[in-house]
Amino acid sequence: MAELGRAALVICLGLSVYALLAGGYSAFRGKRRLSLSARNALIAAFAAAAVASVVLFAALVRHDFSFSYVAEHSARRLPTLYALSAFWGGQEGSLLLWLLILTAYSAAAVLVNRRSAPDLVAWVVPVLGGVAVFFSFMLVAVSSPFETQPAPADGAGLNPSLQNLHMLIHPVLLYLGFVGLTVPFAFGMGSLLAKRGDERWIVATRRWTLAAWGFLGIGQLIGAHWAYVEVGWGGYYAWDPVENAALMPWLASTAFLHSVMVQEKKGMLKIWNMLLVAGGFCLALFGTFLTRSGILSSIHSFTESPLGAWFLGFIAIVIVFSLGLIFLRLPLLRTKTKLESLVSREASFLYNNLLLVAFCLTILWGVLYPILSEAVRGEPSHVSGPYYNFFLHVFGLPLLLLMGIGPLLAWRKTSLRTLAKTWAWPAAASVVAGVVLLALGAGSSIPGLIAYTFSAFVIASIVVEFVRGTKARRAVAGGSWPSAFSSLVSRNRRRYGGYVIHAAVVLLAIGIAGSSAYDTTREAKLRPGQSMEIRGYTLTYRRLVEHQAENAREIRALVDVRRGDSAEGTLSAGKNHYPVERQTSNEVAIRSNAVTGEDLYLIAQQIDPNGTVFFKAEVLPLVNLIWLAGFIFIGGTLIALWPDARESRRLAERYGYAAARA
Amino acid sequence: MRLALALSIAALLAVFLLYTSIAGGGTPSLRPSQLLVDTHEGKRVTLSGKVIGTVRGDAQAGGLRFRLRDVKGTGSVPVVYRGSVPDMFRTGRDISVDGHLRSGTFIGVKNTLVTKCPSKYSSKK
Amino acid sequence: MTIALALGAALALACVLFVARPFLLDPEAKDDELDEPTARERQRLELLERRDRALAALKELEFDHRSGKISDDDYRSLVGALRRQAAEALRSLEPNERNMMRNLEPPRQPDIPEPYPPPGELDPPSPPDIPEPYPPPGETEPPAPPEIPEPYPPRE
Repeated sequence: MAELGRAALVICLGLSVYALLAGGYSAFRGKRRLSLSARNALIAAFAAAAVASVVLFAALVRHDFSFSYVAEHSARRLPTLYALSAFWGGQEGSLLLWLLILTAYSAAAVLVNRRSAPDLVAWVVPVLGGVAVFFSFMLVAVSSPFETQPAPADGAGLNPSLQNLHMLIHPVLLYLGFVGLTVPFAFGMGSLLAKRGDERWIVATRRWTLAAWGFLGIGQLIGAHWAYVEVGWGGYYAWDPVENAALMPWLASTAFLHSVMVQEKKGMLKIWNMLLVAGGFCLALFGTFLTRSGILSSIHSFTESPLGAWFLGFIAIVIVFSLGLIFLRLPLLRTKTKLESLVSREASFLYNNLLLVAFCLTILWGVLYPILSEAVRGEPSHVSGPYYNFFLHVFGLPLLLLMGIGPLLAWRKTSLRTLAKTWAWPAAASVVAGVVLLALGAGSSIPGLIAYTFSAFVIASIVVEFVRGTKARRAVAGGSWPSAFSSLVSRNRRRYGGYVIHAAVVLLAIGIAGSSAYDTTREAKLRPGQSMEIRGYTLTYRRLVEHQAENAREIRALVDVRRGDSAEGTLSAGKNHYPVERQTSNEVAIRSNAVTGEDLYLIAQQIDPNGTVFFKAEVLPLVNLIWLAGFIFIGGTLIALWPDARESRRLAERYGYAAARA
Repeated sequence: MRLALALSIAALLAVFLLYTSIAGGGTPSLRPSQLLVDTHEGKRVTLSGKVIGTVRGDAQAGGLRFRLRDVKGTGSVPVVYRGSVPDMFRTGRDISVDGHLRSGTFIGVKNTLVTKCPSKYSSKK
Repeated sequence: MTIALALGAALALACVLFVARPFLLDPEAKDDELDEPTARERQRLELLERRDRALAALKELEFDHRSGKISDDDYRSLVGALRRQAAEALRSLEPNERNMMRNLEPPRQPDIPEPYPPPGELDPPSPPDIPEPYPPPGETEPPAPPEIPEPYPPRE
C-alpha cells in the first residue's frame, strides 16, 4: 500500500504544478475554462492528499511496520488513538499533515468564493498551487512518509511524553493555524496580481484569518498546559525556539486583524496590510521550518538535514515574490488619507501594530541570534529568558494598557476633555486596585504590580463599553436590559467579540503576572516522615509506592498536605519508567485551589533507592486564570466569527454586481 | 507628518533593541573542544555535548559528575553539576548546561541542565 | 500490490477527468473570456467602498456620541464633514448607477437602500436619516444639524 501513498503524492504534485502553471496562464490571459480547470486541479489535489493520508493512517492503525515511518513512531502496545496521532509525530508525517490541511483549505476557499470575483480567484489558485507544489515536492523527493523496509517485529514506540490528550490535538491546532494563514496571503497576493485595489480580498478572508489566529492561540495555550503538567518543571513557557515559532506568526496576525479594521474604516494602511499578511505567512513557514528541521537545536545539523535548505529557499522565494509584487503594485495601494489625530482609535490601532510587530521582531532576533552571532563573531551566542522577559515587559505592558485605552477612543479624534470623562471610571478602578494590591504586598514585583493595575483598567474599560453600549441601544430601540445587550452584541459581533477576547487576554496577563512575578519556590531533601513548609502549606512526606502499569513502572512519593489546621489531602508525585522506550518521565502533582486560582506544585526531583526524596515545591498564584482565559478566548472568537446575515447581505449588494453578470 | 513620527518611534525602538542585544551580548554556546581552546576565563557559557562514560554522584548532594564530549568530535571536559536533572538525562544523551570552566573542570550553574531531543519536539528541562 | 496500483490508477484517472471537465463540458466555447471587472466596474467598486465607509463612519459617530465617547462639540465639528463626504459618495454613485442600469439585463433598482445599516451599529436615530434629508446635487450646504430638535436622551 505504500506505493499507493507514493503515487497519490506524485499525483498531488502534478496537480499542484498544473494549478500553478495553468492557473497563472489562464489568469494572465483571461481564459475561463482553463481557469476553472486549474481550480479543479487544486480541489483534486486535496483528494490526492487525502488518499495519501488515509494510506498512512491505515498503516498506523494496522501496525504495518514495513512502513519505516510507522516503525519509527509507533509500537504494537500503543493505544489506537496514539497510533493515529503518530501521524504527526515525525517530520514526514507532519509535512503530509501540512499538505492535507493546505489542500483542504485551498479547496474550500476557492469553492466558497467560486461565484464572486472570478478574476480574483483566478489568481488565488496559482498562489495556493505554488505553496502546494513546495510541500508535495518535499514529500515526493526529500522526505517521504512512504519509505519501506523489511518489517521488524515491533516499532520503536511513541515518546511517552507525547502520549496524552494535549499532544494529540496541539500539533493539529497549530497546523490549522499556520496553514490557515496561507489563505489570506494567497488572496492578498491574488488581489495584487489581479490589479485590484479594493478590499474584496480582505472581506473574503476576514473569517479565515480570525479562525487561523484562534487556532494558533488555543494551540499554544494547550502546548503551554502540556509543558506545565507533563514536562513538569513548574513553568509553562520557556522561550524555546519551537515555542517562539508559533508565537511570532500569532503576534503578526494579531497586528493584521487590527490593522485591517483601519483599512476598512478609513482606507489607510493598504501597503502595511499587504506587508503584514505576507510577513505572517513567512513567519508561519519559518515556524514550521524551526519545529521540523532541528536547525536550532544544533546549528551544525543545518547541513545534515536537507529539509532546512529547501525550506529556507522557499521562504526566500516567497519573500522576494511578495515584496516584488507589492513594490510593482504600489500605485494601486497608495492612498491620500492621513491620520487626523494622534489621539484617536486609528492611532491606537497603529500603536498596537507597532508594539506587536516590534515584539515579534525582538523574538525573531532572539531566535536568530545564535546564527547571526556565529556569522559575525565566529562563535555562537544565545539569549534566553531574561532577554525575552525584558521585552515582554517593555512591549507587553503598554499593549495591555492600550487594550483599555483604544476602545475608549473615538475614530478620527477625541478631545482631551472628553477623554478625561470617559476614562474617569476605569482610571479610578485601576488606582483603587493598585492601592489595594500594594497593601496586599504586590509591590514585591514592579512589573507584576503594573500588570495588575493595567489589567484593572482594561477590565473596567471593557465593562464601561458594554454598559454604555447597552444603554445607548436601549435608548434607541427600547426593550429590557438583557435584550438590549444581546441585540448590541449581535449587531456588532466583531467589536464585542473582540472585547471578550480582550478580556481573555487580560485574564491571561493576570495569570502570567501572578504565577511568574509572585511565585514561591522551596526545595528540600526529605526522608519518610519529614516535612517542609511553603506559603502556609505543610507538606509531609509519608512513603514511596510502586505500581506496575501496562507499559510503565510507576513510582510515587505520597505527601500529605496541610494548611494550618486542616488536612487538604495527599499529593503523589514521582516518576514513570518505560521499559520499551527506555525512558523516564516526570510525573508532577498539582493541587489547584478553585477559589484563588492558586496551584501548589510538587516535583519529586530525585528519588534515592533508600527512600529519600529531593522535592521541589512551588506555589503559583492565579495560574489557573491562564487556562480559564483559554475558554473565554474561544468564546470571544466564536462570537466574532459568527455569521451575520445583515452584514452578508450588505456585502453581497456591494460585490454581488459581478456575480449578476457571471 | 504623523507617519514620520510613528516611524521614528519605531526606528528608535529598533536601535534600542539592537543595542541591548549586541552590547548585552548573549551567552556563548560552545562545544567542549571550543572550550578547551578558549577557556572564556570566568565567563558564563553554555556547554553542549554528549554525555560519555559513567555518571557518578548526586546532583542534589555532592554534585553529579560526568564527562561531556563534542557530539561529533573528540574533545571532552569533566563536568560537576548540582541542581535539577531532566528525566531523559543519561550517558549517550545530548545535553547542554550553563556554567564556567575552573581549573579544567566545568562547574555547572544550578538548574540549567537541559536535554536535547532533536527528532521530537522541544528540549526538555 | 496490484490493488495499490489499481487504486492509484483510478485516482489518477479521476483527477485527470475532473481537471479536464471544463473542456469536456464545453468543447467549443463561444465565450472563453474570464470575467474581469471593466474599468467602470472597478471605479464603481471603489465608489461603493467609499460610500460604505462614509455611511459607516457617520453611524459610528452617532453611536459614539450617544454612548458618550464624543462630546457635543466634537460631534458638531465632525458630523458636518462626514455628512458631506457621505453625500458626495452617494452622489457620485448615482450617474454611475444610471449607466450601469442601461447596460444591465434585467434592470436593477438603485442600490441605495434606506435606512442604510452600517457595519452592525444601531439603526439610525429617527430624525436625521442619512439618505433622506439629503440635498439634491446643487445645494452646497447640508442643513446644519441642530442638536436641540433631536429627541436626545439625557446623558448619564
